[in-house]
Amino acid sequence: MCTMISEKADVKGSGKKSNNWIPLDSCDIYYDHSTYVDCEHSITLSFKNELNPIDSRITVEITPESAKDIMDKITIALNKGNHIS
Amino acid sequence: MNDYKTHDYEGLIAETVSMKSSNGDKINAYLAKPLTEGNYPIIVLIHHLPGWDELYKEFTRKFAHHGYIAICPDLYHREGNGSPDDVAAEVRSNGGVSDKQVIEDILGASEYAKHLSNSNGKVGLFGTCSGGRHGFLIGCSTDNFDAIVECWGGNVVMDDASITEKQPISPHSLTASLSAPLLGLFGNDDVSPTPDQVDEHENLLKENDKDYVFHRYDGAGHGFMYYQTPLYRQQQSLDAWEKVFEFFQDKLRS
Repeated sequence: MCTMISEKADVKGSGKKSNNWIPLDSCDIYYDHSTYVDCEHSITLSFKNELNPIDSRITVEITPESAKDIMDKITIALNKGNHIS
Repeated sequence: MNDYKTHDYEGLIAETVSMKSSNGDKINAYLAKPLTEGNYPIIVLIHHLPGWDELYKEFTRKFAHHGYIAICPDLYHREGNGSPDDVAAEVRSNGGVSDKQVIEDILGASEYAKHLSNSNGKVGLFGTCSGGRHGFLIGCSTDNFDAIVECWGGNVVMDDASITEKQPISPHSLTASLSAPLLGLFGNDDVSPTPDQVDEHENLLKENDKDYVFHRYDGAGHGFMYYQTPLYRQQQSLDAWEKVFEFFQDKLRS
């Protein structure tokens, strides 16, 4: 069956849904069969606001390779930012 | 794949209905049934982890088109309303739904359909993914069903680390109690269940002298009948659908 591999992160942020920015406080991260992206398994990042967890969801689905690349690039960006500050 | 000829009248109704779980909760279900008079067997569809989605509603209508009263309860009804994938994401975030509640909802759907005027009273279960697991579990936990189709039911064979409060028993440990004929459909490239887990599942069915048939497809993995995903495998899927309809024809109309 689907993997049920799921993690949750507390976040402090905001996301754009249609034309509005909304506050986000949580992110579900799961590894499972892809819905749309053309690969067997994908990483899904599903940000939400716990006060309205269904309608607030902002979701992206990416390949595992994309996820690793993004993780690397976030680390690089954070390091550069720290270097500036 | 069905008995219709071009000169036959065809008609079915498909709609959302409100039904009672056997625990008394009111939930929604999608019901599809032929409009013509007759004594039709019932298929209760157990949807997969991605939710009460368009695919499962299409599957429900497909069974009605083939002369079954088909009902698919929304197992995630209590989690709230929204687009199916958003609701399913919330269910996943909360660790899934409990096996106990799923069994109660499926029993309620079966009772609802049995009370319709054109039912022959025989009931089959059809489920894929988590729904396949639930189908087997329900067949081992009740004696209310006449045939079960389990499609790639992962976590039928669970290790101790996978046991949770909501899924407290590995279904394969209940094999001796299986009360209905079983058709299992699996892809040999699947990783949940793996071919080794399907072997273990099958060995227990053999040891307990159960009425079962497994078909295991090369060149197919998980979800190979999901035509809207990259997992789809056309030839294997077409063959599997034929196996499903032959099985239900034999077990529910004879």
